[in-house]
Amino acid sequence: MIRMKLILARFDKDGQLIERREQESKSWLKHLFDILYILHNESVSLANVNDIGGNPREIVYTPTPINALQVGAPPGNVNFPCMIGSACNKGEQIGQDFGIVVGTGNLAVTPIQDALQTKIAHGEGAGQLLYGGCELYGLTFANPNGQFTIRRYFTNVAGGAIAVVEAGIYASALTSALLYSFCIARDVFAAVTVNNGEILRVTYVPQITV
Amino acid sequence: MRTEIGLKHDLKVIKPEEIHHLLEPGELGVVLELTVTDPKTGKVTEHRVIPSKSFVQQFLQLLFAKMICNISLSTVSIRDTSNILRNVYLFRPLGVTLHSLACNAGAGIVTNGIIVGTDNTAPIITHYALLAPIAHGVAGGQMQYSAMTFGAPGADATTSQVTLTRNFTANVGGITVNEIGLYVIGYDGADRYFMTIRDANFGGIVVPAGQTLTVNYREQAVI
Repeated sequence: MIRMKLILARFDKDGQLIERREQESKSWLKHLFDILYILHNESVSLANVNDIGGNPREIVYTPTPINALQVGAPPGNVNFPCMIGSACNKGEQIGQDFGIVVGTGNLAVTPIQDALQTKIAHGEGAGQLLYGGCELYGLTFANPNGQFTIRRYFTNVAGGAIAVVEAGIYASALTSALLYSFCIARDVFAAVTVNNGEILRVTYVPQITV
Repeated sequence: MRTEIGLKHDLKVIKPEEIHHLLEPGELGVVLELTVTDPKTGKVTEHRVIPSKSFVQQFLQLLFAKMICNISLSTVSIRDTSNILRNVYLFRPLGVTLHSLACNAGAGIVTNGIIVGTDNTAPIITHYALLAPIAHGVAGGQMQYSAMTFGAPGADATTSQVTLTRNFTANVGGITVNEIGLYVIGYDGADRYFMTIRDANFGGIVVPAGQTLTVNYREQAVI
């Protein structure tokens, strides 16, 4: 069985912890299984899987680019290629479109959701947050448990406070033509108000217990 | 005794009303459905639906490797089903066909897909293979492994899932299945095989000669 913790931590501009909350994430979504299906059963494609823009895509297994289920992401405005080297021919993804994302929508979670309700864009403008890189680390085991950590920092330099009430995980998958992002987890919580100059750290910890 | 087993990779769609709900909200787990059928009569002689308890270490390691997708070509060390640590790639080198979490085995293939065995030792997180896997074959003590089939992902109001299925036909003398696992393919420069799930806590299931055990592993999440 796998459970996942969601940890929200808010820091001031000097890195001092102001607020920390830990709760159980309840919300792996169907698109996780859409991607697992393609990985398990390489001989098929799966149509009508909506990407984070709500556009239906036919996702496929392909032995060339292999970014399927990728969550590790560069900072918000940095592109990540579909594969290594000059042979990249499946496009790129911008950092803010995969990995942990945050938003301002409080719509209740259901299994079939394609994106956060109102994702906060990467940037320095009003209502925006600077997305750091999304990192994965800490793969550890101590019988009967195991876990790893997915973490991302969001910095508010927008000039005003932003109330974050949703977080999620976007993962990549491929069509025969291009790389797209799909929402595999989403959580809604009581608002965390990130004031100008503050930093929000969002951490997901998948944990296995035998 | 020999029973024909299919080679075709079927696509089945599970209707929302057919989704079993055994997990708690927030859990990502597996429901194990076991059905014994007499192919002569079509009669189901045993049917159980139970929560699978036991994703093992390799599942989390492979999930981590998939999610991190590190472009620096570093690796995760994962123990394969032959008890050898393999440095599984996190990203695909140019010109290489990389499998990751694949389990679409054909008939008779026992290196990946759902595998059955006879040992009933309780699972622990470090188990890397079934303890007494049943070989594919038509002799006593063996079973005939069908090709893997897959149910397309589905969801109802609370639960998402995808289903993996394999049939096992018992030969002369019958057999008791006490452990079930899922083996998948990873890559370290060559295809390697890793056990991601092992269950041995279902009290054993007797499969009489000529009858077929159908194992459904339903990977599920509940919100």
